[in-house]
Amino acid sequence: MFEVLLPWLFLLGKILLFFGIVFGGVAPVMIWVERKVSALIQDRVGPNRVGPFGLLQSLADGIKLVLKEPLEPEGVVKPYYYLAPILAVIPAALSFAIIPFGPATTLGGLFETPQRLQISNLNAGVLFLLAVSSLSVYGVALAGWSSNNKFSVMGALRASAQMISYELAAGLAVVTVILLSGTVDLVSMVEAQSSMWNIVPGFFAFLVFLPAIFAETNRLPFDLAESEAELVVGYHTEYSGIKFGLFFLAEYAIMTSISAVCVLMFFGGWELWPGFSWNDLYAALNLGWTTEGTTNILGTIIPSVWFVTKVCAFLFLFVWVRWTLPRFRYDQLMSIGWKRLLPLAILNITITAALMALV
Amino acid sequence: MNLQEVVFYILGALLLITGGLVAFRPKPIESALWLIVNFICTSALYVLLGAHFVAVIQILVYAGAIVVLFTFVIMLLNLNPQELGLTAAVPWTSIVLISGTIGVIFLCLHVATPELLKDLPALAENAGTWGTLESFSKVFLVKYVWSFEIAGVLLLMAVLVVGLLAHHHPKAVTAGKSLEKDIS
Repeated sequence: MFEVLLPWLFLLGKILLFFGIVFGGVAPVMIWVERKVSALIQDRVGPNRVGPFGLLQSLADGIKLVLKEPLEPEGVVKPYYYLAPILAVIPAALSFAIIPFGPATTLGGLFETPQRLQISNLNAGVLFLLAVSSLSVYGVALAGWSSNNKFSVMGALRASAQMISYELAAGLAVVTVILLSGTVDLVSMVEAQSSMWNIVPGFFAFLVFLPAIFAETNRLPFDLAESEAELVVGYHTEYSGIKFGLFFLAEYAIMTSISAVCVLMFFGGWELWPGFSWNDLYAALNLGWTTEGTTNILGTIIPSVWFVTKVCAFLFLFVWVRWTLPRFRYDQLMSIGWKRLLPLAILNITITAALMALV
Repeated sequence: MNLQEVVFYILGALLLITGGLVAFRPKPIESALWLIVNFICTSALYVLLGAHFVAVIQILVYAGAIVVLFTFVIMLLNLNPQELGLTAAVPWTSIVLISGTIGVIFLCLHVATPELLKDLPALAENAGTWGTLESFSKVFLVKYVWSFEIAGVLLLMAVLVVGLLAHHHPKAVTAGKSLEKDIS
């Protein structure tokens, strides 16, 4: 009985772990980090009243958002107005389905064969993530359109144009990584990087990918969709309470999943260092276990923690950039996307493919 | 009837219903949203066939890019049903024509499908890899590479033509204006 239930329990455990960590842990902590780092950069103190170092501020804000009166502004197009926040959260939640967070493991001998620490092993791999993130534009577009507010519509139009433009550049950067690794599967991609991280041969792809993901997540310097100075806050101007909270949650969830993908594609995932794997370290320390977790469960936990550390570094980069760089003008944004990033990405694919064919 | 068939019929029914909603909802934005649901159902059908890659591409290209463009245009124009002329009655001749055409298409499919299905056992040989990215790419870039390239060139030509039309548009407008002046 237990043997039959075990794979299902494992799957359920992975799903609960992911959702618990991302929606219950990362999002609230990231909001706190965002506010603390912004305070640090602007030479302020930041939230410091609720809990130690203001750590419980997000909890207090969350309770406030849930308990707030559900306002419904006049003239909104009702079903779409309520549908939009849901459509914003669904892609954010779906994007975690294919992200592996550690090497394949038997969980200390619980399983006969090593199991992947990934909710679902799809054949399409990283393409699924692109597909799902391309759907996240509907939440924004609908929110703006149904709000009956010109600022919201402007924000939504800007957001959809921006997301379509930069998706192309991001997709082409991913193609370079697929070329380099020879696979679309994220676990195999990490394994292919054991001797050399993709950031070295794929540096230009990363150079295209990084601005593209900043634009995809609608964050500064590309937050034209919600630029406070011009559009109040753009597409979610008319949203309050938990409906606004869902947009907020979706933003941080997408940020986390995209950071994870960036680490997996360019920075070796859970690999320790280029050319020096965890197994080498364990062998050097004479610990007698391997990353596959066949002998010790710590061999699984340590690489996973290392992976999470890398993702956190990326999340910090998101916050750091947001509070450092000013916003682009709209025509600048479009010309960067179409005239700089796209040709660079295409050129990069051509050169990478040619070099790989020659060498 | 096994589980797969049950899922197939549910998906098929959903496809037909959402397709009908796309055609008959009064507001264009509703049609566009039902179209997304329709595409997701189609993609689920591909998953049922084991073609995960095609399913993902279906969502990525159609639901993620093309319908976004549709909604974009709908939001920009913001038409109401009166302006779309949906209130006008449809003449019975066009109803007969359309249903006749659809009937002929269904008849053709009914006749042709058994013939087409005869080719399927050949695909079953590589059942383990069928629908994966590798086998898909092999067929796509070896067997059908010319059709693929021709389709690409066609699309490129379409883009160029649209660019040309858009480029000549200001002239056309001024021509129209001068024409109006002449009339007045």
